[in-house]
Amino acid sequence: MTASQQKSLDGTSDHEIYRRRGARNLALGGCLLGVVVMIFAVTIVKLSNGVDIRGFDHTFETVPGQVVE
Amino acid sequence: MSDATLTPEHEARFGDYVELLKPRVMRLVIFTAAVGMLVAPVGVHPVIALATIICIAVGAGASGALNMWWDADIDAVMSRTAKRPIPSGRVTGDEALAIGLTLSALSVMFLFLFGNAVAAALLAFTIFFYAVIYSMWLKRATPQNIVIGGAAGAFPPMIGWAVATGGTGWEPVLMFALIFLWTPPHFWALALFRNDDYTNADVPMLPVVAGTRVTRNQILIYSLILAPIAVLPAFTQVGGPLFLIVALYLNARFVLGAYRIWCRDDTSALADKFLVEKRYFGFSIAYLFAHFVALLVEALLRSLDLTFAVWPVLL
Repeated sequence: MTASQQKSLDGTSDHEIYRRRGARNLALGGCLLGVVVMIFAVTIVKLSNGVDIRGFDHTFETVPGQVVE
Repeated sequence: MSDATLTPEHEARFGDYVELLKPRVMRLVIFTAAVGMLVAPVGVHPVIALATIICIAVGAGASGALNMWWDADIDAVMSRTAKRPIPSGRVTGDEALAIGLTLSALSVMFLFLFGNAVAAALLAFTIFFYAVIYSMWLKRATPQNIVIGGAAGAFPPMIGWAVATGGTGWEPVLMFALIFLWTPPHFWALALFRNDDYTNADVPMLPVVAGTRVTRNQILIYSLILAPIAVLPAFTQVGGPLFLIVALYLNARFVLGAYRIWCRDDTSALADKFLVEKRYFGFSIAYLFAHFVALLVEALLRSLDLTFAVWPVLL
């Protein structure tokens, strides 16, 4: 067993597998960040276009101000 | 403890997961969905357009992952697909299934939130159609697999149009019909010179089941049906004289290519190593691409008010 492999058993080394998993985790993190940015951007666009932001409150409003139970 | 237990020989890299999503198919999906969206009469905010196209692409990719999970056994015996992530051992089938299901659900959900219910429903149906109806049911059961399965690849422009308009119309239906009717001759041309692959995998492609003569006949028949349908968008709101000229040229070449394939038999095909079939297959990709580019250019001309006032819009 080489020195670097011995170190990897202690969880302290930069063994090849950690680098490989690190790259994968970074890429996945990038994707998740992309999703967050996308949701944020779409939210800003929809709100600036005047989309109704009220949550559904179990009533239907066919005419604004007149609630149908 | 040996080093092998610490370092799995085939641990997946991120790129292997990306490969599960069939990036080459995704490129076509992104392009056709974008054209469907951009030629629609209703404008879409660039941010919404980008976000919804990403959703459509990821949804298509997810159905690709489900297809790879289901077809891993036949992918392993076909030279064209043997290096895919599952048969080559880089990704497990379970991982592909999990990624396929998760991304399917997320893409449909986000398309509903970013776009609208019609677009999301169409995407959900597309994923179901490709993964279940085509991959699980038709692909191994009937030589018509490609004919009906082609519908899955034909939906993206309809979804793009639905994102913009919230509905559908003649124009997206004709774009759907263009890809739907193009798929069989495109794949049968491939199957003619990749016949051994499908025979080894026991996939009932038309040349395997009915022979190459029938396949050559069918390529010509489908090309003849496709040609008038492919020209028809010229006489809708999204078409115009430029599209008409491009479509007439492309379809004349497409039918001529199909006729050349029809005139040949296996002996002449083997003599020049399927040169005519390979050329037809290559041209068929350019054929589809050029139709959609022409639609895009027509949309650009319309936005610049460069249109004929008397152009007949029949549909």
